[in-house]
Amino acid sequence: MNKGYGVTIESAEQAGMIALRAGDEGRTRVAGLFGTPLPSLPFVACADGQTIMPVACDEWLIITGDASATFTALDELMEGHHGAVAEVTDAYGWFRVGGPEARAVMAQVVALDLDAPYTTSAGVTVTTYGRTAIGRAAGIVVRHRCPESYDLYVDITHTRYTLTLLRACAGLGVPS
Amino acid sequence: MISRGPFRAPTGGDIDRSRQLEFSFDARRLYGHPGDTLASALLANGVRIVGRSFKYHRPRGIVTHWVDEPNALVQLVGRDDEPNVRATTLPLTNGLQARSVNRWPSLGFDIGVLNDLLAPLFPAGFYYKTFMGGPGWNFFGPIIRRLAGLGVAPRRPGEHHYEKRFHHCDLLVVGAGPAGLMAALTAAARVARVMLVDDRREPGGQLIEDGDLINGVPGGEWVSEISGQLAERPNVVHLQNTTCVGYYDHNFLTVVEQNSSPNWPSPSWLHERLWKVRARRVLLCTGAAERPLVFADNDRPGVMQLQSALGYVKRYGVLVGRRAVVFANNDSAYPVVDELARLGIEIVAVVDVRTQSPSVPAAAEHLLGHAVVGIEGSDGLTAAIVEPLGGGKTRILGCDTVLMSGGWDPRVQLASQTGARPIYDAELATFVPGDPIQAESSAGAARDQFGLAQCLRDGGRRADAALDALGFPPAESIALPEVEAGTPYRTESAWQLPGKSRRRAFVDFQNDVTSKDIEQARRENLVSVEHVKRYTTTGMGTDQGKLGNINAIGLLAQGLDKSPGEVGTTTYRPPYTALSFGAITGNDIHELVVPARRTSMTDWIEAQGAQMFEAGSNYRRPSYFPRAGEDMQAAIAREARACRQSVGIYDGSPLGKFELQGPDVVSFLERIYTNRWANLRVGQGRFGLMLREDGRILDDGVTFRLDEGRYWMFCGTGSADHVQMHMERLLALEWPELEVYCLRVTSQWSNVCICGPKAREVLRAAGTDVDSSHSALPFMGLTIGHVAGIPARVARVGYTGETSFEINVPARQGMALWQALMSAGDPFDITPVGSEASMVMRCEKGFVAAGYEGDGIVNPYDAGLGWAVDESKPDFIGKRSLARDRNVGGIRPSVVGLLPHDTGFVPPDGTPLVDGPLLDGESPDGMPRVVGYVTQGCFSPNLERAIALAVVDAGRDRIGDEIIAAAQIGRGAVRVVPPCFIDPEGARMRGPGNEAADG
Repeated sequence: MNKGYGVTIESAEQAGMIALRAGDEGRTRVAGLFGTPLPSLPFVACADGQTIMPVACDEWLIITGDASATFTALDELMEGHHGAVAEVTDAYGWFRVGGPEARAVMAQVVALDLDAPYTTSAGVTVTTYGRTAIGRAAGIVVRHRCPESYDLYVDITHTRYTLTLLRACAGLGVPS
Repeated sequence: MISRGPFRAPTGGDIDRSRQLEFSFDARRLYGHPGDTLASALLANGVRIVGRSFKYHRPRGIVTHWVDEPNALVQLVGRDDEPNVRATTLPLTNGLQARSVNRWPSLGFDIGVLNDLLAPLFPAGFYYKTFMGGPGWNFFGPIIRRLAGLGVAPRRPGEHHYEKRFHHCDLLVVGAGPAGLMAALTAAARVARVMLVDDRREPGGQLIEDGDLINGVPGGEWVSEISGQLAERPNVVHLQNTTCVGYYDHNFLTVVEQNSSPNWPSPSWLHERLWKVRARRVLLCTGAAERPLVFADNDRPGVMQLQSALGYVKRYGVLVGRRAVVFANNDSAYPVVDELARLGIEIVAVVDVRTQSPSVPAAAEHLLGHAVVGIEGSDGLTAAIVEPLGGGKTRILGCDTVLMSGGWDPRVQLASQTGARPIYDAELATFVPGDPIQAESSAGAARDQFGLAQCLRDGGRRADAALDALGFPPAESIALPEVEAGTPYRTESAWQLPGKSRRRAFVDFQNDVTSKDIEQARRENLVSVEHVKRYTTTGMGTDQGKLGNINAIGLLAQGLDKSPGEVGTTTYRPPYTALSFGAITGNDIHELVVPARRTSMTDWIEAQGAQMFEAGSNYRRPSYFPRAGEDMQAAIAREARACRQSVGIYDGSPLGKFELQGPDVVSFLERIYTNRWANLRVGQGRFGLMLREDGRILDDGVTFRLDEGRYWMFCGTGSADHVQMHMERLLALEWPELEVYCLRVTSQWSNVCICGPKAREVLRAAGTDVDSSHSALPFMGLTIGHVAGIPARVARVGYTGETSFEINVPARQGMALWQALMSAGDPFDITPVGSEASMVMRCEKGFVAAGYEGDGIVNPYDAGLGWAVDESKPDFIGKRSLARDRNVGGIRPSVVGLLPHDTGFVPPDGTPLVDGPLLDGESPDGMPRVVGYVTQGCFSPNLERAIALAVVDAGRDRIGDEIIAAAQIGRGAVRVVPPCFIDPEGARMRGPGNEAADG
């Protein structure tokens, strides 16, 4: 009998998200704004209620409660400099995979080494893997410790695919 | 009472004798026990013939007791409908139904056996020589395909659940025999992440069969102890029933785990799992396989591998016969003979091709320098025919089984899959792994260590070496277990053995390849082992030559008077053994086959009954929206008409979108596009043509200037990935000095396009603070405001040639906008439009599309887009190539329109265009002269006639000419015309439209 893995799959609309790309100078300027250096993989920085996740060597995703304010601040900061800022709140869907067998499901979804070490920043113990493949779509994966759970940020056009994939990998089958 | 079966030993075997399982074979009801395989249960019940051979339909029996089995392939029927299942690896379950294959009407009476009588007519190369002639392969092929095959593909979907899982480890150990267990234990002690996989139900490998003592206890007990130690280690993943089937680049391996073990650690509902393993180092402890001997009638049911006979007794408590003749060429056979005799099988004689060997049990005859040269009894073996090798008196030895041992071949398949070529070891008369190419090594019998003590030592050492290479700190060494000194392994190659002239000696049982076939291939000058393989089909069955390859190489080498090392092996490729499609596919079924993208409006669009298609970048888009009673053409015509006469609405969200920012964006745009950008004002957009280095069209689209240093670029749906890579490559590698970043924002925005004379009215009716008047928002203008209360970027662009507005809102509010526009457009009969109608309208307007007219050959001038090229700019990508086109001269193709004489004749896309004088189908040289092709043809509902766009040589100079559209559906005369059929001045698109009427 197919009972599936012991996991929970949450999905909810997230607070604001800002995409940021910056060169060396821009990075320094943004670090001044946030009061913390922009992190590199696999670190995550938390500052002033905002979470800054690297998704590539010169690209970050900022989770913020006030997208408009963060965007404006960064946009002004980067004006005339080598950088780019855009609000992408609506570009992403979000899932959290938790539960005692979360890893059994995630090991099917991503090709990542789920034993990679955690990092701690501002009391938050996480590992971010940056941009990676989630099934056959692209997304960003963050792993939390205690209890182990995984945040998946996927392109909003792939939310249905991702949910179907997660449910299938949880042993709940694929709708025919 | 439990039924034992006539060949079940009274004791022994790792089976549960307290329980009985019922199964059927060819509808015959039989019984076995938990722990049996289908093969062991069949043997226990005295079933000797399990199938018919592929080519000659000879009766075949079970030869081995594991994955090497070439004969015992069965079809599962009933609930487990599955072909080509190896009976030797299939665990017996209650109610299992299996039937034999490749026979008709029955296994016992098979009409196909006529092939065996006609065997002299079917030599190697028979197919190639026979079926290429006469009517040819196209005639014979379908007939042969119907006759071929060993099973029937299931007709209904499987019910099993499969999954695929990724795994990373420091050391992957393949094989849990003595070497593998020692390796895993050693690596585990050094706190490495270890994965140990083994294809058997239980670990131990051959140790389970041989009965050697380790540390003074039976080998099985030592295996249990080590397995227990590994189970306690959190850094070890130990999987039985798990086969490593593929070894790919960068130490990526595929491993299939099957849910067939009582101690299956995974969920009970899971049938199989494909592990995709990234290992930093790999240790192959895959052991060795016993090789058959190639003697006359060696394929008769009852002839079996010697070690397998022992395996059936030890693992399953099954006697494969009561009176055995053993035929060998190596010393490892002798301890097995002793053990079989002890377990109750009468050893009639041991026949050895050598002149010196160990002793045999007292009751057995020892025939040194002899060979088995034939078998008596076709369906049931009754005797072995034996002769001295130098000639002499033939003897017939009564027996019911012949057990053969031709020496041992290290299982080099996985090592070979890495690209490492096996090398020949003359002393062992076999191939051993060559120098590693990847981060792997072999240990134990898989290398060349055939003794138990050597295997244990080698496993530990090799694991230590692997971890040393990874930089793991040393740990206290694992004590090497104590074992009794074994018999040294000695062998003598025996490739070609004497035989009676009319009896065949089989090299490849599954593909019915005989020693004569190998010899014939050589006589026909096929000297490469790869050619011989393909000519004779040896090693090409589902067993991939696990039993036959080395003998085939040996025979070929002997015929060529070379050593087997000089001949070399064929290339071993994945998979090592057959795996199910279910394991390969996993969850990638149904809607997960394609990672389809959906916009905010996709649910609504599907609910309207739209025909969907995959529009590039995996977007599902509407092709058209049929209403009740409408066919496709009617729906497309209605939608296209609505856009020209009233208003249509279109989901343009999938269009690629990028934000370009930085001080050097203008410089960047000037270089990647053909036209000028420095003078683009904020709030304006401009069409841009992006070329490849060769001057051909890569993409086109509109880019808007949002503010001083921020630009918003649109590109084609299907080309967005390519455009992004193109830009990133240029910025990273070609022009790193440019301070520009691009951010892909495609999915941030829902894009809803309303187009048609009533579009402005709909926009206003939806409620907007945007001034949509022509003066405030002219063609190619962009403004920011609200529509239906939603923050929006509104652009006056479109792809239909009508007054159009593209309204971009944050993606999650796309559906709200859509519904607001649908409500506002209701009085105007607003019509949802699919891509088909959109393409009709672009055809009416002569808009060039990448992938149609932009076919990789035409340049912008050919396409009529010269107005978008400014060659006075210092440079842009493709500029040099455009200059070269001009300097080379000659006839260039150009994009033109076509008007068929028959207004209902729509030439399909791709239709060749033939010069007019060929109306009678003739030309001076007898060949039609093709002057171009149709890029898109359609029936224009607005013109009420067929039209087409085309690429024609010197087309613009041929306006007014008549040419022929030579379509498969028929020929039709067409007139070459300019490529714009509606509103060539563009007044409807660029002008104020019906603004005056709007008041």
